[in-house]
Amino acid sequence: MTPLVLVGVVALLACAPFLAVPGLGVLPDTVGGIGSLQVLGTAYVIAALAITYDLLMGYTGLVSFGHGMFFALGSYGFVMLLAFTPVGFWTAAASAVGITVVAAVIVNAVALRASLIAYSMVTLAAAQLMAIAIGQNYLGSGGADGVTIPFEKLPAALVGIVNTKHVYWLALALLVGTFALARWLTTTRIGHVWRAIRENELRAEVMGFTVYTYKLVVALIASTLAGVAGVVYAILLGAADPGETSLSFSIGLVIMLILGGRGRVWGALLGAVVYTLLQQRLPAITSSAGVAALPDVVRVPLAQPQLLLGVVFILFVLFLPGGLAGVVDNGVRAVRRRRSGPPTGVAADGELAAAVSVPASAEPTR
Amino acid sequence: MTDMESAALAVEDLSLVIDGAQILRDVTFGVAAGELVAVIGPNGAGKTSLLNVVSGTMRPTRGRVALHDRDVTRASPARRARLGLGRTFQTSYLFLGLTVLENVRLATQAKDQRFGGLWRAPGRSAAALAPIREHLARVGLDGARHTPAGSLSHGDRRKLELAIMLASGSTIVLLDEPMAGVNNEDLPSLMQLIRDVQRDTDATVVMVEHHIDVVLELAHRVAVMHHGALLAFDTPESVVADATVRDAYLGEPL
Amino acid sequence: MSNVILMIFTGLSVGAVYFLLGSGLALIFGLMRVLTFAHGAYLTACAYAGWFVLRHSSLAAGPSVGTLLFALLVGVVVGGALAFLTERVLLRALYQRDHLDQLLVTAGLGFSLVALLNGIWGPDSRAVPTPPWFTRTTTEIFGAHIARGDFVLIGVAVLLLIALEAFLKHTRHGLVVRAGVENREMVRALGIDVRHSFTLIFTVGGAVAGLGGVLAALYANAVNTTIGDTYLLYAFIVLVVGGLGSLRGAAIAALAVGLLQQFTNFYVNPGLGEILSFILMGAMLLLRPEGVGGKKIRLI
Repeated sequence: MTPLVLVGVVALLACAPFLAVPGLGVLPDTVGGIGSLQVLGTAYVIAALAITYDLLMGYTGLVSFGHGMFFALGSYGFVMLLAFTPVGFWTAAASAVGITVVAAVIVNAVALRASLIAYSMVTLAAAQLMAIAIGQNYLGSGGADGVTIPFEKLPAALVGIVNTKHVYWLALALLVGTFALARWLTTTRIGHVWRAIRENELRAEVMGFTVYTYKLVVALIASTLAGVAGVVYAILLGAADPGETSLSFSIGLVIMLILGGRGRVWGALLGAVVYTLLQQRLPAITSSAGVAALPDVVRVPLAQPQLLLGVVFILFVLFLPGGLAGVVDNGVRAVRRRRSGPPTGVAADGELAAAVSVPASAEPTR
Repeated sequence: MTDMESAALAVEDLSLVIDGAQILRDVTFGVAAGELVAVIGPNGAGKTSLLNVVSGTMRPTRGRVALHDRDVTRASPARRARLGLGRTFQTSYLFLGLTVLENVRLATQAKDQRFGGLWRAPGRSAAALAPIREHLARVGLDGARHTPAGSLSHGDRRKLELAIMLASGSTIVLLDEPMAGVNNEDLPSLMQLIRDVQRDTDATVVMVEHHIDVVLELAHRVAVMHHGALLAFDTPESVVADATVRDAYLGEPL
Repeated sequence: MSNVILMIFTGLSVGAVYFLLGSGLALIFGLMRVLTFAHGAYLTACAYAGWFVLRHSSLAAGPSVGTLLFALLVGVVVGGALAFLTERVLLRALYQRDHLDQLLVTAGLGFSLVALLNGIWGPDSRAVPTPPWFTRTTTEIFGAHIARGDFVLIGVAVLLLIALEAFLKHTRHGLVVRAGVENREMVRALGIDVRHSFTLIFTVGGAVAGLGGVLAALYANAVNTTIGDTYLLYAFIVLVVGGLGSLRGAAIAALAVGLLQQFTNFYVNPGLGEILSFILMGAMLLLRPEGVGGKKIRLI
């Protein structure tokens, strides 16, 4: 996708608050309506979070089951500082991100000491720890009710129904910024090392890259960005929501990446969109009259959106490991190959034509 | 031993015990700079374990490893690589999803990992790529530079490993059965490649190998391993003539 | 003093279930380098299977010994069957691929299985009739009244440890597992058809998880869809603390975690025990990442 197209899309999205186009069943009211802007804003934040997760999992191969933890830390840190201490908006936001960074250092420095597989377990455990702490209302984190933002402390431009579009633009800016940052990182030398680590960690180590340090850096970056996304999310919701700390939230991120495709930033975006859509639409389908009419044996599984999602997830891992983005990339490559003729012969500078059969894996070719 | 003092690579009293089994037993020897030492021995003699301990992927139970007189016994493989140690693996261990070019480029990148440089994109210009392509041309893989490593034939993967070695600028090179799986027609050219590369870069090479003709051709000295211990360490001719060595191989033709 | 004895025994029985789950995971990881997230779901599924058998027994009188044994058997069989199917159908297809993909599939399966259970029985807890002698008949040891159920749990865990050790030492498959823990490449290079061993180990892990599920249901007098996930979490902690491929390590770690939890919850603060388990895991990773029983030496 050329930069021009991207800019065009962003501009279009930025105009959403002014569009009276109907929401097409996906959104609650017209595109520009308050409810829709909320939904879209939420989707943008989640997509940004998925992108940060792609850096960690898709690019470097660190399958964390606790990435949601840093998102939640951003949210909760921000809201709790506003609600329980006298600090102002900007201090709270900066401090929340700061807290996330510190936590990221501590958790990852420890978790990365474990072997790659164990890392998943450790991050899971750490996230669960936080979920328990919040569930038990530690430090007044509100348990199942969450914590609401005291609105008097927010800048005027972000408060009130009439200013929803400002919050919407904030979410959009977050997404655009995260996307751009992630894309840039993947082009740098350090991004190439991350990719090498995912390919063959031991080889990277033997080649001279201290893998632990590189992993720590990507984990820090991803976690910090997740924290920032958490702050924006809290502003969007007006509260910190305990759902962010749940296991299903972190697993949701994994599902997004599997659906969309790992290791190519826009795959995470696609996955987040598809997942959010499925979350929205599946319950409607599963509780529809058509399904209710089916015999029990078939109906019970179909009536569980989580089950359907899980099965789709498994199928994707088995048969489409590159996710939807992988399918698109392969399609584009096939079209290009057909257009430029059969892959035999040698090009002018001695370059062999591109690989005969590139596996439909998570590898980006750019 | 005099060769320990000027040794590029020195191991002292190296022992490795895993679960009660003695994999390496008090191995001590020194390899002089620019020397090519072949390590031979029957299966299970501990040759690959020796390479593993030297390269840092395994930690010895006892003993010392020194590179250019620096004790690296506790150092990570990455640190040893930065000190000049390079290694190939028995089954080619490459970044299969990355292209030939990218594999080699990473090796050059490993030499300079200063913090500032990490945030810049690797050079795409012809000038930036030239040194990388030179290494590839040396092993005859420049034409295949955009092929994913996973699609290469076995022999080509071996060459890629060598190219990576060249690009890393390793001064001490560990080759783990470089000829394994290579068919007889390719053998002489690969041997020539190793000999040329070693001569040009003046690298110190420790090579585990089974093909005795290769050993006789290339090695300055031969280390014979048996049941984890160093049985003999001498010129190829002396080793071949050694009775204890022949007994160890139990009548296998040398 | 009697409190200490009581804590020791309850700690041991909690640890027993952790061991049941953790031992399977340790062996599976040791051989196959697969971390399976699915076994938590097997535990839950078998807990429900056990409940299904037991639910018709009266809550007051509890099930007879025969029904109890039958429930345990059902747990073992269902767990083993689920694991067998998983390995044959799903995992086999993925052996050529990344271990992370295998992990993801087991995670997806665990997720889906729990969702299915939720769909069939709903998320609410169901009471499990437990024989009165399980919880109420006690034996006195140094002034502490230890419930028979605790002995059952500890006994099962000990028997399992002995059986698994014997398996590892004296059978051909056990040898393959031990070799696999040491050196995967060698096992493959030796050309042994490890696939049979894979299936066996995975199935055994499932059967043992199933047993754990029924016992857990009895211990808690209830089942709900989240018990497997909770136990899995602690089984993971046990695995990290004990060392990923090590059976003995898992046993020691399960003991340690169980005791730590009980003592802390009782003497300091309820809930703190769980948090300390996490901290124990973190400390282990910092000080000795390979775990109690793990091997430090190899990186490959």
